Amino acid sequence: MDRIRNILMSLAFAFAGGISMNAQGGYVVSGTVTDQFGPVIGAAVVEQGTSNGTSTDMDGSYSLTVTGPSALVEISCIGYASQTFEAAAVPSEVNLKEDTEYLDESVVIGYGTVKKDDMTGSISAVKAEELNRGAVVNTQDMLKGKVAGLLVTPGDGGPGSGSRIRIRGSASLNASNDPLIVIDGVPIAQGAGGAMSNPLDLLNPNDIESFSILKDASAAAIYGSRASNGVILITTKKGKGSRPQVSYSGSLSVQEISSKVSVMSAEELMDFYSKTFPAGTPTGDRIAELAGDSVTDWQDLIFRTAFATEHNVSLYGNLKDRMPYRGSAAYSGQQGTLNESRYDRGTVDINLSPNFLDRHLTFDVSAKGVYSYSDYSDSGAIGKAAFFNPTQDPYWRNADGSIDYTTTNGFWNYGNGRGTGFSPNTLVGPSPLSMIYDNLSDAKSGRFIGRIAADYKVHGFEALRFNVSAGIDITETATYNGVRPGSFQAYADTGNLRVGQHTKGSYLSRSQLFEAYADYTEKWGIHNLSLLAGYSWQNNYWANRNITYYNETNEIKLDPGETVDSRYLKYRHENYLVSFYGRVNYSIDSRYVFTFTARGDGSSKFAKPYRWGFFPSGAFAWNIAQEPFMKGVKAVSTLKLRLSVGMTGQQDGIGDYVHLARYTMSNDPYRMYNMGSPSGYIHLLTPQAYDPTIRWETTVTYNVGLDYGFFNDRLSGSVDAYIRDTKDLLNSVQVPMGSNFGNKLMTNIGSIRNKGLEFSVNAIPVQKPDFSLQVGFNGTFQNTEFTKLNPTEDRNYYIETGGISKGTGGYLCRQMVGYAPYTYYTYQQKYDADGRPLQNEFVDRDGDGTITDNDRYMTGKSASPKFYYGLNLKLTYKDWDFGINGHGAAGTWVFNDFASANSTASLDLNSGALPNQAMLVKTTGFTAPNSGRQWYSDYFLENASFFRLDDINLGYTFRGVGKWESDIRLAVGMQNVFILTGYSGMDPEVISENGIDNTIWPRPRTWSLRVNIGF
Amino acid sequence: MKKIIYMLMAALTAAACVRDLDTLPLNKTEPISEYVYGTDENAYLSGLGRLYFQFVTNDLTDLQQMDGGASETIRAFWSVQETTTDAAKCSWENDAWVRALNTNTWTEVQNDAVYAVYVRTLQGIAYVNEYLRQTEASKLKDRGVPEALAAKIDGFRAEARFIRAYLYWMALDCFGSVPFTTEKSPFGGTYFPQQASRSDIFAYCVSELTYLMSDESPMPAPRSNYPRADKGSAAGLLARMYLNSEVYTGTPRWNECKAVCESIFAMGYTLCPEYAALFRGDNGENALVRGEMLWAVDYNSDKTESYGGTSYILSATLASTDITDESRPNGQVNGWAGLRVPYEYVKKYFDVSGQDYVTGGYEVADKRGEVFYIKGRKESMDGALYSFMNGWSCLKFNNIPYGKTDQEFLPVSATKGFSDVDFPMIRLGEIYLIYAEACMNAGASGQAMPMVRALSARAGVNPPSEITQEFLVAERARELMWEAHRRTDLIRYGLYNTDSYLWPYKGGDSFAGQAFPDYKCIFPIPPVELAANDALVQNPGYARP
Repeated sequence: MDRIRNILMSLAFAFAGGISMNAQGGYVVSGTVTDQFGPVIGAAVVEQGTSNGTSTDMDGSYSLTVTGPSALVEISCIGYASQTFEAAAVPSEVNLKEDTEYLDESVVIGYGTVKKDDMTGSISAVKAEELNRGAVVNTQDMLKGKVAGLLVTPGDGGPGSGSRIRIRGSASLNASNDPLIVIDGVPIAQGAGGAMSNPLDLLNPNDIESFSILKDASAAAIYGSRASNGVILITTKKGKGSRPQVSYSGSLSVQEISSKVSVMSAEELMDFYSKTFPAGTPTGDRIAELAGDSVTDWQDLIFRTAFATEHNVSLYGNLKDRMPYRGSAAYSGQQGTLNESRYDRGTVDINLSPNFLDRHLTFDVSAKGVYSYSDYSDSGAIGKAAFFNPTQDPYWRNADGSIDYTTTNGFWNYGNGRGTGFSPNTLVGPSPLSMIYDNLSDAKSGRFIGRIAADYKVHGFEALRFNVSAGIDITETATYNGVRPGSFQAYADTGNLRVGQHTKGSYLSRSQLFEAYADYTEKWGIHNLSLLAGYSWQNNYWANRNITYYNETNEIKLDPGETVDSRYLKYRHENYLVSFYGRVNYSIDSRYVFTFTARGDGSSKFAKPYRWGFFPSGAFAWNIAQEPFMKGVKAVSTLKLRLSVGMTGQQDGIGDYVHLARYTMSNDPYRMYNMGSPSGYIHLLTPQAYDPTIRWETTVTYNVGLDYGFFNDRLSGSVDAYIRDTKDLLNSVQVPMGSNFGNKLMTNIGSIRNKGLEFSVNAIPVQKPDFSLQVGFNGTFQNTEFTKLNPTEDRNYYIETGGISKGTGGYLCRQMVGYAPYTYYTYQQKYDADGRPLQNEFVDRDGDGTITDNDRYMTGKSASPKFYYGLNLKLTYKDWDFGINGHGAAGTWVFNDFASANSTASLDLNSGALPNQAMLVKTTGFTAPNSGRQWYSDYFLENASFFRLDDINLGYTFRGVGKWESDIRLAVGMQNVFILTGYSGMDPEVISENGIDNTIWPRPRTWSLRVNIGF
Repeated sequence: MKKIIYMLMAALTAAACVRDLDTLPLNKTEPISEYVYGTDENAYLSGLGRLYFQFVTNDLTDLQQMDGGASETIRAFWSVQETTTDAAKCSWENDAWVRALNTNTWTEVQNDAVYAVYVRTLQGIAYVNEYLRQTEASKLKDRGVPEALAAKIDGFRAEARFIRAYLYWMALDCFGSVPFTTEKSPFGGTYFPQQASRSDIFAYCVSELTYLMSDESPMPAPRSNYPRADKGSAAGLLARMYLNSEVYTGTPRWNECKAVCESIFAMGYTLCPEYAALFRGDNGENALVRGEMLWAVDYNSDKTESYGGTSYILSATLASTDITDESRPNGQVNGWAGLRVPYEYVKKYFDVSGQDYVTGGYEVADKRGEVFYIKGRKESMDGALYSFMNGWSCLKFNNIPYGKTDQEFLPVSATKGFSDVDFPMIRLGEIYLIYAEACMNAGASGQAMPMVRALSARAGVNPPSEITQEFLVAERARELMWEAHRRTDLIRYGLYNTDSYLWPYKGGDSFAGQAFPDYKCIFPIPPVELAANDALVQNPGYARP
C-alpha cells in the first residue's frame, strides 16, 4: 500500500538529506513532530521540490537547513496527513493527524471501486509495489505465494510456460478451473492459443498497478456465470504526476536446470548389466552386441545454461492537468534450458485519460499490443535422453573422426545402413539430438487489447454518472510444425520418404465487449448509498486452419478423397454472452455495510430454456473498530466482521454448440455401407450423443471473514472461512441406453463441496528511518470432496480417470462420493522384512486368496494439498533492500509415475536398443518384468509436501545521480533457490491436476541482475 | 435529456443483443441437424445407411466398450446365440465373458458380449428414432424437400422402422423387457427410459411389421432392394416373431405364423440350388443366392472392414497356423483360433464318419455337413475346452467365392484382411422351416412337406416321412447352423437349460453337461445400465448389484 511508498520516500529523503545539506548560510528549521500520543519517530521533513531533507529522531525532533525563509517545508509520515509550511512559519511542535485518505483507500472491485472500509466481500488487493522485486518476467509469478487462498503452480521449465492458477481450490472436473481474468475492465479470452501459454502472459509485469482477487461470491457474483473460480481484476498503471517522467528497468538472467533425471553413467550401467545379466546368458550376450564404447551423457547434450534479458521503458505524466498519459514498451527474450527453445515477447502499452467539461466527462483509452514468439524444443527429448544408450557416440563419424552429415543429418540413430541407404529403426524412434535439432516447431502470436470508455458525471446531479465502454481482444497466431529433410524423422516418414512434411496452422481469436452502466452514489449524514446498474454484451469468436505440406516441394498433402479446397475450410465458432447486473451498497456510519449484487447472464452456449442464469449475492460487514465502545481500545486499529453468501457460475470449457444435435459424416473409405443399386457404398451420417439440457455449473459460496489490524495496522491481516457448494458439475458419465445416442455423455452430474480456512498476517516489526522490516505470511487449509456423483444415489458409483505412462488403458484415480477429486486408487505394495518392496506382490485386501482387480483400494490421498502457504519478507536498511519469497504445501500426494515406469531393470532388447537404467532400480531391486498391477502400486505414491524458496533478492539504490538526479536501483536475485521436500521425484509441484508426475522438464534455477532508473 | 438518451440506447442494444444468443455453427459444412439434411437425397440416404451400418460398425465414438470389433452387433449377438449352446465353443480362455458364455455360468456381473448386444441394439433404436424425427413430413416440408424426394424418403423411413423392429427383436429375445422408446419419446441427458414388457414389445414389433409388409406401406417391394430391407424382410421377421410367440408372450400364434409364411411364398423367393453358395465371399453378387435372401447384412473386405460378423466367424474358426502361403482355407489372411463345433454336435446331426485328422478328410452324406475343417484337430473337447485344436472348425462361412478353390483364390486371398461374405439375416430356407413348425403345430403338417422335401433334396439326403419336433430340432441344427438361431431354438423346444438335452460343458465345467436354472433363458440387464437408470428392473433371478 501507500505506506510502503511513503516509507521508502521518507527514507530516501532522510538519507538524501545528508548528501545535499550543503546550503552554506541557509535558513535552519528545527522543532519536534508529535501525534496524539507523543513524539513521532522517523517522520520525513523535506524542503519541497528538492531532495533536501531529514527525519525525526527518537524524541521526534529534527533540524533542517533550507534555502531560505520562504522555502516550503513538508512534514510527512506514513499513516498521517502531510503538512506543509513556509520555513519561517513552521511551528516548533507539529502535530500530525491520522491520514483520512489512507483510511479512505479504495480497492478495485467489479465495475468500480469501493472504500476499504465499505468492502464487504473477501477481496485480496495487491499493489504492484508489494510484489517480487526479483527477476519477474511473467505476471503470474507476481502472485505466487502472495495471497491466501490463491495457489499458483508454476509451469514446467519451458520458457514462457504457463502456471496453473487456482482460487480456493478446484471445483470443476471437465469445465475450466481457471479464474476469470479481467484486465482494465476487459474479460479476456481463454485459450487464445499459440505462443501465449496463458492469458496473463500478455501483460508486461511492469505495467501493472494492482491486482484484486475476488474470492467470495459477494465480490465475484457481479461476474455471474463465469465467476465460480474467482476473478482476478488487473488494473494497469495510468498517467500521474505533472512533469513527464521516464523510467527504465532492465535485467539479465542466467538459468540452469535444478536437477537431472537420476540415471546411470556409461560405466555404472555396464557394471550393473555385467552383474545383473552376466556374459554367457542370452541377455548378457545381446547387451555386449548392442553396447558401444563411448561415454555419453545425453542429458548434458540437450540442456544448456540459458540467458534471458529484459528491457522496459515507460513514460508518464499529466498534460496540462487534463490528460494523464502513460506509455510503455518492453522486450524480453528468454532462452530455454533445453537447447533450441526460446521465448521472446515485446509489449507496448498506452493509457490516456483526458477529461473535459470541468472533469465531468472523462475518457479512458487503453491499448496493449503484444507480440510473442515461441521456438519450441521437443520436450520428449528429455525423457529420451535420460534412457538413451550412454555407451553410444552421439554423432555419425567418418573414418577420420569428423561428423558424417550424410546420415540422419549427422546425429547418430538406431537403424541399418548409412547415407541414403539408411533405414530407421522406428521401434526406437529418433535420438534425443534428432528430436531437438531436427524437429522444427514454433508459434508467433500477435495480440491486441483495446478499450475506450467514457464516464460522464451529470451536470448539476453529480451523484449520478454513466459509464459506457467498448473493448476488443484479438489474437492471431501462426504455428509451424515439421521435420528437417534428411532427418531420422524424415526417413521414417513413408508419406514423403527422406524429405518429411510440415504443417502450418493459423489461429484467430477475437473477443468484443460492450458495457454500459450507471452509478449513483449519495451521502446523507451517516448514510451512504451507492447503486449500480449495468448491461454488457460480449462476443467471442475463433477460427483456425491447418495445412500440411511436403517438405521441399511445398505440395499440399491430401488424404484420399480430399480436395485442395477442403483444406482451406476454416473451423470457425463463436459464442455470445448478454448480461444485466446491479449492485446496492449501503453503509451506516461506515460501521454497518450491506451489499447486494445480482447478475443475469444469457449464454449462447446453452439451449433456450437453460440459457439464462441469475446470480445473486448478499453481504454484511460490521466495522467493529468504529464502534464507540472500541474508541478507547487504541491497540485495535481495524476490526471488521464480514458475512456473505452468493451464487456464481462456470461456463468456460463448455463447447459453443454442444446443446445442438450434431452428426459426423464418415469420410473413411473403409467405413461405408452398401446401399444397393444404384448408390453402392456410401459414407454415413451418425448422430452424436449430446445433451440438449446442458447448463453451466453453479456454485453457492458461504463466507465468514474477519479483518484485523493492531497498533496502527503494524500487525494486520484477515481470516476467512468458506464453504463452496458446486452443483451441476460437468462430466462424461454413463447414461441410460435409449435416452441418447450412446452410453456416455458429457452432462451435468453431481456436486462437489469445497471447504476452507484461509488467513493472512502482515507484520511490520521494525519501522525506523533507516531500518524497516516487513513480514507476511498467508495460509489456506482446504478440503474438497464429492457430495454427489450421478443421477442414481449409488454411493459406490465412480468415474475412472488419470492415465499413467505404462499399462495402456488403465486408470490410476477415481472420482467418488466422499473423496477428493482424483483420489488415487492403487494396489497396496507388499514388502519384505527389510522393508524392500516385493515386485509384483500386493496385499490381498479382500482376503479372497488371490490378487484381483478388487484388491485395489481408495487411498484417500490426492494431489490437492490440505494446507498451502506463502511467506514473504522485506527488509530495508539505508539504501539497501532485501526480500525473500517462498511458498509451500502440506498434505499433498504425488504419484511418481516416472518411478513406476522405470522401476525394473528388466530388459526388452527386441527393439534393438540398449536402454539406460534409472538409479531407482538399485533401490527397488526389481529385475523381473513388472506385472500390469505393479504400475498401479502405492509404493510409488509419495507425500509431496514441500517448501520452495522462490526468490531472494538484494538491491541498492543510488540517489540523485547525475544531471536529472535520477534514482538508480541495482539488484541481484535468485529464483527457485531451493526446495525442501521428502519427495523422491524431480519436483513435488506437479503441474497436472491429478498429481501424476510424468513431466520432467525441470524448473530452472535463475540468477539475475536488475537495474531500475527513474528520471 | 442525456440521461434518457443513454437509457434508450441501452434498452435498444439490450433487446437487439439478446437475439444474438440464438447461434448456429458458422461453418455451414458443420453437420448439425439444421444443416445436414436439407434437400439432398444423398444426405437422407447417408442417414439411412448408418442405420444399416449399426449391424456392422466397430465404432466406439459414443459407446464405452471393451473393444470395437468384439462388440459389433452381429458378432456379439452371434456369441450369445451360438457359444451358449451345443453348436459352438470359443477357446479364448483369458476373456472372462467368453468362459461365462461357454459354460452358461454368467451372472449379473457385466458380460462384454451381453453388454454389447444391449448397447448396440438400443443405440441403433435411438438412431432410428432420431432418423424418423428428422424425416417427419413437417420437417421435410420446412426444408422444402420436393415431393418426389419426399416420397422416396417415405420408403427410407419404412426401412428404418424395419431396422428398429429387428433390433427390438434381438433385444427382447435376449433381455425380455428392455427400455422402450420410439420417435415420440423424449430425448436428452435427464430422460430415463422405462422398460416395456416383453409381450408389449412383441406386440409393437408385430404391428410395425404387419404394416410394413402390407400393401399400404411405402416399404420397397420384395426382392427389389438387396442388401437393404423390403417387404419380404418385414414378413420374414414377422414369421420369426410368431414362431416364438409362446416364448415371448405365453400365447402361441401358429395360424398367424403360417399365414405370414404363405404370403412370403407368394413373393417369388426361390431356394438357391447350391447350399454352400449361400455363405461365400461372392454371395451378395450371386443372383441365385439373392433369390433366397429376405434380408442380408453386407460385409466387404475393403469398404466395411468390420472385425465382426462374417469376418469374425470365418477368421476365428481357424488358427493362424492353418493359414499359409500355400493355403488359406477361409479365403483371407487371419486365423484367430477361437470358434469350433463340439464333435458331439457334428456326430449327432450330420452323422459323419471316417474322419482323418492328418489329411483332414471325413465322410458325410448331407451336403450341409461338408463344411468342417479338421486337419490337425483333436476330436474331443473333454478337458480341453480352451484348447483350440480340440473340436471341429467350421468353414460354412468362407471368403472363397463359390466355385473357386483355395488354390485358385490364393493371389486374392492374400489381399483380404476382412470378409466379403454377406450375413444372411433372414432367408427362405429358414422360412421353410418356420412354416413346417407352424403347420405341424397347427395340425397341418402335410402342407409343409413340399418345403421340407425341397431342403432335403438340396442337401442330398432323404426327406423325413413326417414332420416332428425331433426332426425340426435336428433339421434346424443342420440347415441353420451358425446363423445365430440356436439359442432361440433350444429355448423354444425346452432344451436350452433343462436336463432333457445335454451337451459338452452345458451349465458348468463338467464335460458331460448339466441343467441350469430357467431364469438364464434371458440375460441380465447390464449392471452399469441399472446404475445409470434407477427406473430399470432387473430380470428375475439376477441380483441388482
